Amino acid sequence: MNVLEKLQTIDRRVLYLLIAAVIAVPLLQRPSRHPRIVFAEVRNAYETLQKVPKNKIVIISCVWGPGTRAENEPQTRAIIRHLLMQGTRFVILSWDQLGSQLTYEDASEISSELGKRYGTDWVHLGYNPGPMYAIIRGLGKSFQEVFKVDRFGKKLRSIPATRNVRDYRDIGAVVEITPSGTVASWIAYFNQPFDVPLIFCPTAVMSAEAYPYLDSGQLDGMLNGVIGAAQYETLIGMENERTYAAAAAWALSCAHIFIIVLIVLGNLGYALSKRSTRRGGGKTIG
Amino acid sequence: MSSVWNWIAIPRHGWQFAVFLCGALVIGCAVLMLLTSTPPRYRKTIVAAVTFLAGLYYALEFLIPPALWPLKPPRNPLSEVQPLVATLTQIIWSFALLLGVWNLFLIHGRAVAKHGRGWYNSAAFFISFFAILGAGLLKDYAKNAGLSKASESIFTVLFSGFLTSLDATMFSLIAFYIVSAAYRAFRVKSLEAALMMAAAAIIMLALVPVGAEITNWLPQAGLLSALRVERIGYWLLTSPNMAAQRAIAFGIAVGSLAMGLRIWLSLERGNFFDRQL
Amino acid sequence: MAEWLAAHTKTLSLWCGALATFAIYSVLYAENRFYRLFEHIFIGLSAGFGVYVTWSQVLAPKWWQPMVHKGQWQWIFAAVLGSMFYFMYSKKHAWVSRVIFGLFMGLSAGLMFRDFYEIYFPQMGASMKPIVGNSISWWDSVNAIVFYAILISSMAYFFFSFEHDSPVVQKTAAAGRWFLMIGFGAIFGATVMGRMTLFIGRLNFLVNDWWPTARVAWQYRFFQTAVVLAVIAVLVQGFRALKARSKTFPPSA
Repeated sequence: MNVLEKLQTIDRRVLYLLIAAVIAVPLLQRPSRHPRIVFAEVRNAYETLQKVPKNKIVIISCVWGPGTRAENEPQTRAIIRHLLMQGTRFVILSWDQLGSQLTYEDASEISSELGKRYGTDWVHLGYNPGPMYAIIRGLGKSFQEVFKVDRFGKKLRSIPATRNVRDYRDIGAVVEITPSGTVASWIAYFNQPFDVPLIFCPTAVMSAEAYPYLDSGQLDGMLNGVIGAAQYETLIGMENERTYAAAAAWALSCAHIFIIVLIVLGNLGYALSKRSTRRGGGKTIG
Repeated sequence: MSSVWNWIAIPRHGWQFAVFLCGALVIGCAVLMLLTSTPPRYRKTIVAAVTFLAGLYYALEFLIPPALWPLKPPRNPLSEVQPLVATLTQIIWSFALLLGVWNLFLIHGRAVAKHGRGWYNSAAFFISFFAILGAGLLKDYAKNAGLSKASESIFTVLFSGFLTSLDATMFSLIAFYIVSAAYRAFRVKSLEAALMMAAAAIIMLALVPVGAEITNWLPQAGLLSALRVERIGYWLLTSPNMAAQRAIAFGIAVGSLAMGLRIWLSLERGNFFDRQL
Repeated sequence: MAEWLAAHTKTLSLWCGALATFAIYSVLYAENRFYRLFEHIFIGLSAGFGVYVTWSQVLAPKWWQPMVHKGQWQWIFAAVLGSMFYFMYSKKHAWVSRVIFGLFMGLSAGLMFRDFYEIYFPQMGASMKPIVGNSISWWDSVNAIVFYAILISSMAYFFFSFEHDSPVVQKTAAAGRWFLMIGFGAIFGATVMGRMTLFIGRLNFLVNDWWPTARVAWQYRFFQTAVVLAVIAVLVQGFRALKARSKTFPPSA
């Protein structure tokens, strides 16, 4: 039995410890260097939000919760920071119970860091349960009638940032930050019918399926998981800051190489064990 | 018609409010009682009719353009009530959220009452349920400032400390199973599997910053630059992958249209739809 | 008490977060009571938080307050409709819940025409890619040809309305299967990236958020004792688990 064949019987817990060690190194180092490459869809997302007129509002629709926080939170924070920096008003709409609290905390933290104010520069609409299609369709007709109040129960008509928002005409763009297939609802019921730009921020798992929509122009930009967030940070001038997204991008590099090595080793061992079983005339494994 | 609607829509206060609210409740309960006493042979028809009418609303709202409605200025009256439909569905949906809670109470209540194996876990379920619910409500509604402040701190510890960490850690467990599977299960047994693995490996490298570093010795422009890992990976994503995903999407489109029609017209078959009502 | 809690909320949250993270990760070693307990705490907190948020952010401001404080009595009908869900717990009248489920299913199904028109028509339009033209480079032409080849062959693979008897259809469908593998490879690569990021998030919490607090706490004798006791408890538990395992699976087996 050679080394590769012996490695086939390695305890899974050893692999778990190895992956933790591989990922921990870049996290401990916390590199400030952001990814060198910025994908076209990330740049398009940035440019779309840059072009939003000052008299219009941006809807940040967050479907995420703590489960995918590691991917969706850096995207949310990067978008919020960009909008606050350029003085574009926005509302956060949460479809997840726990995410409602997290997105509020994120926006509060960044807004106080940049000296912006709740109610004037941004508003949180709280948690919205229920069928997405009905709410999105209604929103195009009347923003005030569908949402009525913010997360604290204050009337949207009495809040400076949302006072004049009537319907789709006052919405400059929608940013959908999601770990599930909800973007189709925005495309079908809001962005296509009313011709409003749509930015998609999915978890990496969802990203491969979004390319047909980017090609057809139904999506105006995309931030692919935490890598997309790190690339977006580069565009908003944070390329030299020690952010979580940058550290995660390098940790992911290590993890991907580790996984590829595991697949190669696993297959080599499998091929060798198959060959030796054939020679010995025994039963084939696997 | 519109005057009746306006009369209904007027807000009521004082004794009028009590009378109207009770009246509405009585009407609602009467309708529910009527439904419960419906003979079995009409039940499927009622469900099918409600499903069809609900679907008809959005279908007509889309299919009939505003100009075809005899209204001035031209508009689709079905579109006008969309905000009301949104709020109404949102509230009705919220009532359904207690369905799951009710189920959990039944299961864990039984476990605690029977004192069976692991009953203390069920007790922990009840304690944590009421702790976060109580802390949340007290922080919002308590008149006493000290109590409200303490509740807010407890709520934060339960939410930020426990709940978000537990949720995120649960989800992250999959990463370990992927590692284990990468080593033990991903076997290249055919040419198709080899193609899939090769595409996956290139894309995995192209997406992360190290991909650009691996082939950084290649020029940034010119013919050779096409061999840089990040370029190959990005091309795979935006060209072959995009075309393959679109083909899958077209398949889904036809399937979902057929499925939508079957549900709308109550033609769908299966355990849920065929059950005797 | 309230003041002390308010001052230490962040530290308490960090320690509770670390405890919860370790408790869940302990299942990676083996199924254990600690994990089970925290699993139930998770369900309890999730359900309790769900009820709180649904009341405070939806039902209270959008249903209860307009109805009770503004006299909009009509909203009581929403409660009557909502109550229909709960008939599913009655064996005799369970069918009433089908009415409200039917309503939502109907609403969703009614949107299929709009779905098809708004989502897939633009996709069909975008599939008409020019191969030659004044502003088309040779690389664009290559990409367009690759696109058509993959789209048509992949769709042929999924097309089951007639039997794949003709060799042309068979070959095209076989090529489609190959091309689809590239798509599945992309999904697989992206999935690995996504799942790894979730673990990176947790590890980042432990390494960069909790660990600095733990290092500060290490200077206290009480904390050192607690850590030593915890390590001993884990070792004893691990030793007992190994012993039990060797009894079940003796080395000779």
